[in-house]
Amino acid sequence: MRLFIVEDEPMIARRLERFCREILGERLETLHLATAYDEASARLAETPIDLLLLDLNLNGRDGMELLKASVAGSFHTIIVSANVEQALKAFEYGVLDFVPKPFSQERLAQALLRATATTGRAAAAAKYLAVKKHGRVELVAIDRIVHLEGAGAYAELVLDDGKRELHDKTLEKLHALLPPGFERIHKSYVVRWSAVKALHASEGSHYEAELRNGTRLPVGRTRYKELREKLS
Amino acid sequence: MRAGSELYLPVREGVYWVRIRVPALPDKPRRQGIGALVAPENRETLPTDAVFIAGPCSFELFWDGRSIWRNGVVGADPASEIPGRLDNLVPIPADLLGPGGHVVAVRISNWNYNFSAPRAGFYIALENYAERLVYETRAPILPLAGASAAAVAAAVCVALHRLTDRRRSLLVCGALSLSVALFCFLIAWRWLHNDTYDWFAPRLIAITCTVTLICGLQAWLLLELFAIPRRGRWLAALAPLVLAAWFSSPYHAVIGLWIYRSMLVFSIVAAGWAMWRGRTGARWVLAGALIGLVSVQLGWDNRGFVSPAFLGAFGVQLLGLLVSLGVQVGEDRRQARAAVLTAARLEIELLKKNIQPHFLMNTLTTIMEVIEQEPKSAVALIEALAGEFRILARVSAEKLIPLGQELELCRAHIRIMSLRRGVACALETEGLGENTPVPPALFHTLIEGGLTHQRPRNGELKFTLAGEVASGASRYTLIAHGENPPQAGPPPKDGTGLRYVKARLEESFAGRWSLHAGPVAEGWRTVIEIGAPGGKVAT
Repeated sequence: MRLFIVEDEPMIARRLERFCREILGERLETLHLATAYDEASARLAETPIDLLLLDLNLNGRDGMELLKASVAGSFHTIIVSANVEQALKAFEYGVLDFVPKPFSQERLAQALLRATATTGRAAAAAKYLAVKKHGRVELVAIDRIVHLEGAGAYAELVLDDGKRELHDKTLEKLHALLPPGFERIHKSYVVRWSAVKALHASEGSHYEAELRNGTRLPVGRTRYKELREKLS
Repeated sequence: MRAGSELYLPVREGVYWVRIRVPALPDKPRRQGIGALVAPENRETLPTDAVFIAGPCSFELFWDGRSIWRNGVVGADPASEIPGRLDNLVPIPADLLGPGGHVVAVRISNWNYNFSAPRAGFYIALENYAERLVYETRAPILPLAGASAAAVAAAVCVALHRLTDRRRSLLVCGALSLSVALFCFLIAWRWLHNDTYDWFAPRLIAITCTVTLICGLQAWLLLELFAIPRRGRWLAALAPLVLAAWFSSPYHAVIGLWIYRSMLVFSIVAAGWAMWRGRTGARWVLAGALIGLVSVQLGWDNRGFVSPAFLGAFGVQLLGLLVSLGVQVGEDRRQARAAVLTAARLEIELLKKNIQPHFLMNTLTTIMEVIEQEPKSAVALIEALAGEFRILARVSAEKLIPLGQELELCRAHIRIMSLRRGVACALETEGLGENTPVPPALFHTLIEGGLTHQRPRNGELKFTLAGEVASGASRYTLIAHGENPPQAGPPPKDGTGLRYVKARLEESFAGRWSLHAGPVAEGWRTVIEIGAPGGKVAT
C-alpha cells in the first residue's frame, strides 16, 4: 500500500507514521509525509497513492478544497482531524473514515482496515461523488446515480438522465463509499437496487437485470441466485 | 374714550383724571370655549353690571359722579399715595344701571410705578360680574398646570439621575424644568395673590430673569445633550441676542418675547447641527423648537407672558427636550446592554478559542504521543497547558489586564506550541510597561495566528513585541519572524482571531485605535495604535 500522510503537526505526523508502520507492516510499500497544503497538492498531482490520511486544518487553512480534490482521485481518503463537526460533510463528500483526534492505535487500525479489506465499507455513506471535469472537481449527487460500470482503473457513473461521468476510482473503491442501496450485480456493474425492475435468465447461463428505464445490465452467474431471492 | 379697551396712561405725573363716556350699557355675550367656534349662533348674553379695571395705579372710580370704588389711596406725592391692587372687579350699584348714557371717571395716581417706561397700560372693561369672576378664577389654571407638570418633570429628571443614570444632561434638564415651573408659578401668582401694584415691577423682573435663566439652561442642555463641541463659541453667539433683548423694550413682556425668540433660534440651529451630525433625538428638539416658534409668532397677543401661545410654546419645546433626552437615555441603555453582551460574548470567545478542538485536541494528541515516546517531556507539556489555562481562567472575565499578565499568557502558549511543533519559538519584548492595561489575549491571539500561519525560518519562529508610549497614546509593533505562506488570490477576510482582537480593542478603546497588518521582509508585522483618552486614531 502506498500511503500519504498530510499533517502539519510534526509530533502527530510522527505518531501517524509510527502507527501505520506497525499496523500495515509489510503491506506498506511507501509512506510520504507533507506538512503544508501546497506541498500536499503538488504531491497528490504527481505521485500515485492508495490511501491518503488527511488533516483538515493545515497551518490555519481549511482543508475542504484539498478534500474535494482528493476524493475525486483514484485513492481512498481517511480524515484525521480534531474538527469533528466537519465529519458529516467529509463523509458526504466520500471519505472512507473520519478518525477524530486524539486517536489511539486501535482506532487508526479500524480505519485502515476499511481501506485494506476487499469488502470494506465506509463508516458512513457518501451523499456525493466528486468527479474531475475539465480540470475542476464537480460533485455528483449519489441520488442521481442509477448504476456504475467498471472500466479498468476507472468507473463510469450512469445518471438518471442518461449522462455518464468518469470517475478515477475503481468500481470496488466507489462501491465501498456508496450507501447500502447499491448492489454489485456483476464484476463490472453496481446498480441502485430500487432501479431494478426484473431479472432475466436466457439460454447459455446468460443473466440480465432489467432496469425501470429499460436498460439491461449483465448479472454475474454467482450473484444471480442471491439477487433473485432478494428481488422476490 | 371707549370702555373695554387698553389705554396707555402717563406715569408719575401727579393726580389726574380719566373720563369715559358710555352711551348705553350693552349686554355682554357670554364667554365660551371652543364650542362657540362650532356653534356661534347659540351665543347667550348677560347683563352688564360691573367694571373690570387692571392697571398699575391707585385710583378712585366714579360712576355718574358717585364714587363707587377706591383702590388704595390716590396721592399727590409718593408719600401720600397708598398703592392699590392690580386687578379690580367693581360691581356697579343697581340704582346706577339705568338706561341711557353714563359717565365713568377715574381719579388716578401711580407714583409707585417702578418701571422705566414713561407710560403704563390701563385696562378698563364693562363686564358681567359673575362671569368675570369665574374667568378670573379660571385664569391661573393653565399656568398652574404648567408649573405642576414642569415640577414633576424636574423631580423625575433628578430621580433618574440619582437612581439610574448619572449623566449631567439629566441634572441640567431637571434645573430647566424647575425654572419653567418657577416661571409658570410667577405667572399664576397674579391671580393667586393679586399684589398691590408696586410689586408688579419686581414680579415682572423676576419673570424676565427666569426666562433668561431658562434660555441659558436650555442652551446648556442642548450643548450637553448633543455633545456639541466649542461650547464657548455657541454661548458667545447667544449672549448678545439675550443682552439685546433686555434692551429691546421697557416692557418686560416684550423683553421676554425676544429672549424666547433668541432661545428658539438657538435651539433650531443647535438641533439642526445635531441632526446633521446624526445625534440621537435631535429631531424631537428641532420639532419642538419649530412648533414653539410658529406658535409664538402666530399666537402672541397682548396678554404677554399670560398668552396661551407663549405658555403652550414653552410646553411643546420642553416636551421636545424631554423626549429627546428620553430617547438618548433609552439608546444609551440599549448600548450599555449591548456592551454587556459583547463583553460576555468576548469572554466566551476567549475561552472557546482555547478549548477549540484544533488547539485542544491536537495538544492532547501530542501529549499522547509524548507520553508513549518521551514520558519526561510529557510532564513539561502538561504543565505548560495547565499554566495557560490557569492564566486564562484568571483574566477571561476582565476587560483590561496588565500587559505583564498578557505576556505571561503569550509565553505559556509559546511553550506549548514549541513542544507541539518541535520548533524553537520565542517572544522578545522591548519598551513595554508591565502595568499598561491591554485587553486580555490581545497579543496572545496575534501570536497564536503567527504560530498557525507562519512557517519557521532556520528552524525557529521568533516574535518581537515593541511598545512606545507618548502623550498617553500607545503604539505596539508585533513582528512574527518567519516565512509567510504563499498568498494566492485576493487577500483573505479577517479570521476569527483578528475579529476577536478588533472587537476587544473597540470594546476598551472605542473609536481611538487602529490596527494594520501585513507582510514585511522579516515575516508578518502587526501595528496597533491606541490614542490618548479623548483623542482619535485614524483607522
